[in-house]
Amino acid sequence: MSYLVLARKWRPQTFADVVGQEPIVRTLRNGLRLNRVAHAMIFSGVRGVGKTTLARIMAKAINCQGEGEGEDKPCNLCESCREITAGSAVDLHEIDGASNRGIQEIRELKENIRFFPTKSRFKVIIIDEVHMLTTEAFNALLKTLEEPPEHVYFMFATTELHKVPITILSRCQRYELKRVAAADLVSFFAKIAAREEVAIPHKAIEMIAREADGSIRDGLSLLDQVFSFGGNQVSEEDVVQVLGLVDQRIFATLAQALLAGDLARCFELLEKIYGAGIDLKRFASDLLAYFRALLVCRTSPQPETLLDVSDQELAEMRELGTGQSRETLALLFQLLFKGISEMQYSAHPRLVLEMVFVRAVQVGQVTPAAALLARLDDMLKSGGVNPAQTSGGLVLREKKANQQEEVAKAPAAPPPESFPAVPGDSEPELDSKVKKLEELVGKIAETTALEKKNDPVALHAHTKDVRKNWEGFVGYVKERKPWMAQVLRICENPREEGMDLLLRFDNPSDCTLLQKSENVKDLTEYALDYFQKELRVKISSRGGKGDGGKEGEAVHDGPKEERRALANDPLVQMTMDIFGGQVGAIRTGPRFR
Amino acid sequence: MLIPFQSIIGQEKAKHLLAISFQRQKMSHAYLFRGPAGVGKKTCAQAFAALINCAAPGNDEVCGHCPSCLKFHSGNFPDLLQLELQGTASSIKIDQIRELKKLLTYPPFEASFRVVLITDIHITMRRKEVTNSLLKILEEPPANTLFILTGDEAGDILPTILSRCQIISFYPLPYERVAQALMREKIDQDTAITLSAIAEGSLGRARLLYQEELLPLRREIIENLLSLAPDHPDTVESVFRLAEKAAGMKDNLEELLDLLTIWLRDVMLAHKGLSARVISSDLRACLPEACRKWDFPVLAEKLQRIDRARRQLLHNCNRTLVCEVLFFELL
Repeated sequence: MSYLVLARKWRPQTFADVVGQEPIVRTLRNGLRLNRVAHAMIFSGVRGVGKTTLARIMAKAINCQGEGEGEDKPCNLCESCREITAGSAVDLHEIDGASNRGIQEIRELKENIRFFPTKSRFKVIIIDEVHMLTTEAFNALLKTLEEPPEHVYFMFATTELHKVPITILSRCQRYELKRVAAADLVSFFAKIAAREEVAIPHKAIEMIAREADGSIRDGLSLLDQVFSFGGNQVSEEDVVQVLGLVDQRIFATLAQALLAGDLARCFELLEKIYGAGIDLKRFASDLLAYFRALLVCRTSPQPETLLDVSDQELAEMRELGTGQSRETLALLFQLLFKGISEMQYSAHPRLVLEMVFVRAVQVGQVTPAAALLARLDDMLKSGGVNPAQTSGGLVLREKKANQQEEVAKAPAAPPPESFPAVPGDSEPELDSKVKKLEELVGKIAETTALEKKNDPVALHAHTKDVRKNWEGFVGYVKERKPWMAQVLRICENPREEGMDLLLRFDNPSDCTLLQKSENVKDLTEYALDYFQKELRVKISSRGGKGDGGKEGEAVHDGPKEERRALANDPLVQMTMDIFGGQVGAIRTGPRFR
Repeated sequence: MLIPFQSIIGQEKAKHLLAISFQRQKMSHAYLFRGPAGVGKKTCAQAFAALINCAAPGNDEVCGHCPSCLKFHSGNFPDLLQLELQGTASSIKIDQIRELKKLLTYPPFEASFRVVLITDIHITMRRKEVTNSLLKILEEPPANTLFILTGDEAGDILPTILSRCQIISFYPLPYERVAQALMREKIDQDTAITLSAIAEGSLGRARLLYQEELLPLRREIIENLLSLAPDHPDTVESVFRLAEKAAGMKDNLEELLDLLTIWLRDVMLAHKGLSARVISSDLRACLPEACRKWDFPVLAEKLQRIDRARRQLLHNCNRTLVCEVLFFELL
């Protein structure tokens, strides 16, 4: 017999052996004692918490021939129990739902359960990975599941409960297994280590338990690996090496470098980590966790309750965090988060991580909102803004947009007491700032009203002529939408007619994209911003019949265009071809029609 | 082909773990070799299969002349089951796994360990029924059966699979080792060093890059984009030409975009005065000009453009169009 992995060797065989899951174990045992066992049960939960195990134990308990009553079952000594443990029981059908997922298999099963059990009292059907059954298979099961023959028990196990139809769920007793608590895992692993005669320090077991993330099988797989790596004497270093854990200090150094904007240092550290053969993805998510800790340190008054770190580390984090605004930290966190999720699916994880660093370093140079507010405040103090006098539409508009953005942010931000503070700001100062901000809002409102009243006068002063400033306009658009500028360049004769901006294109395909209503809207806005007048954009093309959406009705062609159109008319061309002639003269106009 | 276990390049940690579990005869019934593509996962799996079946292994190495080793050498070993893609299928099929299960109910023909090798399990992820049907057999396989699964890091693998396997991590190889291996295949030194850096230590990727001649194309694109003036009439012409060429790369277009990303990263580094860390060493001559032409924010913007192009390709946009637009933006 080859070596049996721990997860199989230590699979619990009685209720007493089960790790965690107390409420469920208790329910099941009480059910056995009171003889109230449901004929169909479904066990769900994440990988490796004991779904299949519980189903098997339950099967044993139902068929146990031992002396014990109710709660003592299964005895694990009687013939039936031993057969089930060995996997040779005839009346226990353990079906792999993922391989036998069709309706045909279910039909066979239904055929099968009509007969009485061969040896035991009951037939037990365990369908593992039941979520993989097809819809038809599930439906075929419904009737049987609701009223099975008296000698049949159904048990299902699945990791993905949401894939099981509700009609199935409502016919089963549901048992949702929880992740196993770390403390339970630790004591269980310690017990196994003792029984396997392996010396392993407590701290190492804790590391494995943390890594297992509530799943016993995950933990046992790791433990197996550690045992075979370290032999009978496992040290902490062995575990660190097998799990690929990283020294925590490197995160502090890296975070420092990132916050200081020291790209060279970041890359140096990354190189070091890479050279040490550490899993970059793992490393990146740990870095993310570190930034979370930093953020918690910066935000929460009592970070130690939320973080599982030593006092010294905490002090370090505090020190690192206080130098930074909360926004910077939050922004960095966001950037890292985005980058790291990108990393998971990239073939170049290292490249992605490097790019994240580059971006993060760049962000470090962005001024936080609080500082912007302070600057705005200064500007107000020096009396820069007197709205009534500024008639320059463009300047005002930009500034206004800026201010409104700030104002919009202000109410969403926390109340004044906890206003995002630039280090060194005291509360009264903040209060006064907020007051000023409110004043500012008032002023803006006034300005808007004023502007509305003076609209025609104020705006006309700065309008620009379309024809003269066309190149400038194209440049203006190019800064915002490069492709649009390209299209505008093709336009041969842009001109202004009353309130309309006429754009004419030779080739209809040049302007199809431009004619989309959202693009027309954008263009109208650009035109308004640049020329400072309300222009309706009308787009037309030769041969384009009434297209251009709602904005650009077909515009009357100029005589020149019309002539060209006539010359290129397929009918004319064909005539020329057939008669071998040439166009002598083209005349347009009502008289010649 | 018999692959000696110790001949595998790098991966000391993985080799050590496997060798130790072999020495102590504490092998798990299921291993998952996980790591980037092209660093030797499959090779290692085959070597390990040969090692554990060798009649007289000495010092963690196959003997090379026992019957089992000879059969491995001629590729006739009957108890190495490898699930391979059938025809044009994108992943293995559920029927193959059903057949495998049937086969596993019989004992191995002659080997002490029957080895089932399933490569690229992450691809199978998209077909849930396949991976799920593996679960039961993976958890409790018959005695003397060893599953070896390989999977790329970049893909997802079902957590239920992960928890049933001992996960052996594979890492990118040191650049020097890759370069050495490449040089042994008659690739000149400069190219070899560049390739190893670009492939991030994946020998398989480096070979692919070399075979598909992506490097010359990248060079052409970068040099052209650098020299072209945005307002010149010829520009459009040459951009279209380049875009067409790039789009013709078929499946390797994404690799090409990665190469361009690397290039932009290099220019950024050069900006920050870190020219020593530049990856595309063959294009070092172009760096100063690129630095002059683009400042840092512009580069960041260009990076985003590449990202966008990548997304568009993912959504099945017209490849030539995407390339054209991208190159115009990269000007």
